[in-house]
Amino acid sequence: MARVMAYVDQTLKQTNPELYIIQLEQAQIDLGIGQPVIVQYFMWLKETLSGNFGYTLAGHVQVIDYVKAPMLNTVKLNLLVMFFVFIITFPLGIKTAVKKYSTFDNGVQIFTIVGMSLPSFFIALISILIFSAWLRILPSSGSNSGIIVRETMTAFQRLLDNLKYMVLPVFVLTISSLAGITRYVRGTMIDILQQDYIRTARAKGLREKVVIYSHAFRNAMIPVVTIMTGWILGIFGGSTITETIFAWKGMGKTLYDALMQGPDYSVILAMNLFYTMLGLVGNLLLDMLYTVVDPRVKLG
Amino acid sequence: MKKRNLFQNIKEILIVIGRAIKSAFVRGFLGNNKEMTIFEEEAVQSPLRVTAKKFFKNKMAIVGLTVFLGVLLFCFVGSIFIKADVFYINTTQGNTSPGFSLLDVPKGLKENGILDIAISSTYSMGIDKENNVYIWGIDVDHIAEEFPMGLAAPEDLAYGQAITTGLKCTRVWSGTNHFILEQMDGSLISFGVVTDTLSFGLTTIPTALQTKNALTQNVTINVVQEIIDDGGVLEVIAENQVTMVITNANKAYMWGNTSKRPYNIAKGLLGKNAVYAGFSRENITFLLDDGTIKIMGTGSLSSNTPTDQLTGIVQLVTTAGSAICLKDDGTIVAWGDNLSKELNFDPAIQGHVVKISKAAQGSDNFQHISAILDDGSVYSWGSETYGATDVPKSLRNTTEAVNIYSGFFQNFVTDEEGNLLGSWGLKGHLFGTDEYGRDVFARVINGGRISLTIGLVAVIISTTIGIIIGGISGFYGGKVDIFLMRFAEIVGSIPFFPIAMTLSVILNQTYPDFGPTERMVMIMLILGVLSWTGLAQLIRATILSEREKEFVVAAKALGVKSRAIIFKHIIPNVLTIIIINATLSYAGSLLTESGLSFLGFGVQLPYPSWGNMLSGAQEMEVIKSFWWRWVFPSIFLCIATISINIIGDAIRDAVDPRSKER
Repeated sequence: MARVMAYVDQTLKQTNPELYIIQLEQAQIDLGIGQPVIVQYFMWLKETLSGNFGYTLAGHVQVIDYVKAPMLNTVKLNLLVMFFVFIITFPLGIKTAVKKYSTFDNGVQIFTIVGMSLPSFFIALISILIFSAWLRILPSSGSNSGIIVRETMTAFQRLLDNLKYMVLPVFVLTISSLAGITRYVRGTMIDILQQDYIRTARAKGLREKVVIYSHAFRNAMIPVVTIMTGWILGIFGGSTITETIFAWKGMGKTLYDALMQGPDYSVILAMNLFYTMLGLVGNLLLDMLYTVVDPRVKLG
Repeated sequence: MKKRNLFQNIKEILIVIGRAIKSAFVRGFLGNNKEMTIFEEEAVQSPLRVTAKKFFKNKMAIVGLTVFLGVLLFCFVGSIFIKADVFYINTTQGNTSPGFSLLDVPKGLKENGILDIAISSTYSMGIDKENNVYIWGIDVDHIAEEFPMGLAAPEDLAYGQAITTGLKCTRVWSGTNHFILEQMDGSLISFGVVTDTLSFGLTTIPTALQTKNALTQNVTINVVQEIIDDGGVLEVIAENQVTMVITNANKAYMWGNTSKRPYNIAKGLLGKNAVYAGFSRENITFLLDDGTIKIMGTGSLSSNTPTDQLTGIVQLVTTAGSAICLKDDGTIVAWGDNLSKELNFDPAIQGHVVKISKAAQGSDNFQHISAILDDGSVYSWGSETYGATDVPKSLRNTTEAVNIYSGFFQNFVTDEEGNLLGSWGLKGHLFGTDEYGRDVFARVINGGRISLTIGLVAVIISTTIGIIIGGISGFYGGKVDIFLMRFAEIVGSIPFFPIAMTLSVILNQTYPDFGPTERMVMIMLILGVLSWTGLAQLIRATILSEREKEFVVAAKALGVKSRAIIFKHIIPNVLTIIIINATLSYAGSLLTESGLSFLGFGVQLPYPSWGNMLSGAQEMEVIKSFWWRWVFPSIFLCIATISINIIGDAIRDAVDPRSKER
């Protein structure tokens, strides 16, 4: 029923009640209400495959238009997070693996255990408390300063404005995924540093840097890429909480709003579809990445 | 039939685990720690035993295990003793910060002797024999919500102290959030939230009060001038945002938020002389100078009034729905709706009561009355919440009690000279209270029990599914393997949080009449059903390598059934992997449960869980000012997950043959 309601512009109810009833009946026929569920499913599938995801409950907007901007936002956010996670975790993981059981390593180990165990919303709340409430340097919610303020800005200022609202979500997501990857990189590096070919490389008299970054690290990438799949799914899913806390207009927040208001089934279905697609595309990309990091693997 | 076999198999696995743990404890704690070489060790001890022994040698592991067991005990045993009343609502006690200073009478007041005490929601005011004013208690931070600009909060106690320093007063009365003080010259001043327009600070008594006279004409009254003209104040009665003054000429003026009881007092009291009054939910009750009662309004007090007994009354105390009158012969007459058990006093005190406590206003249904008996001892009855009626033994047996001051959940008793004989009632809250006045400590304990249980059951579900699917897939191989692994990949490729949120909402929509228990079961199922894939793939991979080993070939050659081979020969060998995975995913599922609950898709309020206790913290005000509402549950959540992760790590270290020790 909610889908039928969403299919028809609700404002018509006030402005043109007769047309509203006609459209409502037409919507029931279009959506196949009353027919077997399996028929309804295929009708939905047909529409979806042709790019029609239905309309949102509030505002009667095409779902595809409604979710386009948040999706792009989330992808941007998560790409930034991935970038930061990579440039932090890889050097950290390698360093801890090389200096195994040193004070530095033990310190990082404790830090990562704690980091793995902290819920992301706790980190988010703490960072809001510090950066928004105490220091007052970063905004605690929203994805930009609002249309009124932005009208007076130049394009560059708008970009800065966007970035300013992204700082805290990116920070929180990065912190909460640092620990797991660091540990994994460390683990694989330790394994690989014990391999015979590393000993050979050292015996050849290669510089330690070359041994670690050229011989060991290339090989350590292979298992790391394997867990990337799960991790990327994890951050896309996990950013739901962070986006909701910061009221940052991304996929997670859109899904949250759709679930809370209504629920708005068209949007929910579309969002879940996109999430699954993201997961599959991520899997595919990583499979391709395998061939890059491991020349022995060939696709097809 | 098949199902029963499965359970038998699980039972066998549990027995194996149990034996391993038992032997580990025997080894770890009862000695037999003779050092052995690696080869001896491998020859004599099973891998599980070696693992357990190494685990218990790891200091971090012991610390983690101890802390985790501590949290477990704290939540499960604690929740037996400390029950959280999830439906308890008492906004007067809302957002109280942690602390136990509600009964801490200031030193100066104790030394100089107590003249008067008035108790408000979370703080009290006292006057000593030298007419100095003291204020103590816990900041009433819920006022901060009404003042988003931070005018009054959260330093209002310090603010109150600053305001009242230097004041010389003779009497004090309290409302829910405000005090009225009588100064030496007989004039009144007030402090706190006084009117419906909410002014916090030192406020004045109205000089232009709009009201109606006995002929229902609108008049403007200068209350300050009236008090001077009438020769001072007889009594002040205050409640939530409303104040009434009875002057020495027995005239009553009421100001503040009168919308709850919009009665024409002047008309009702025409020809009568009021000496005292009491507010109830819908009534105003007056005690007249001839010892009778006049009730205004149509609430619970106006029905079933024992009018024939209401003569010769010397003292009147009203609660939200009941009235208690003390007669001159020391007996008590009480009537009303009895919601706070105001009428359930011990009949033995009849005829012996000298004085009943001044007032017990505010906080509907959580009200109590205290009395001084003719032998100088103290008796208390009414709502037992927060020990408000638990009179200490010393006060029950004392013979010196003369004055008693009670209100909300606090009571103070003094003797003839104004020395404090004792106090009882609510001291404060260890972790503060949330917005409804519920004790955060009790909710942390009970929420912990719910969170830990949900996490545990979810892990058991996912581990069981993982073992079964991974085991079948790994052992049978072929088409079954391909089908099951593709299925696992499909389930695994759906991002967890969005689908869990969606499932939670859709299941709630489909079954709207689910009770809280069913909803918790639902969350367990969602968590369990979505998170088994990793373990299944891991088990499959391990079994693939295990099943080629000699002992499996031998078992096959002996004609052992394939199911028995899986569960009796292979699973025990992949047990360590299962234990590590289950431990780590227990921490994970605690985090996901709390994440879901935090967003409102998990355990539904008012039932507490560590996650949804934080959901109030989506507001800036809560994050900043009411830190105790989110810091304590998250600290417990973090401690639990950190210790579980340490345990999991230690098990992995112990299992891994390449770990430090070798």
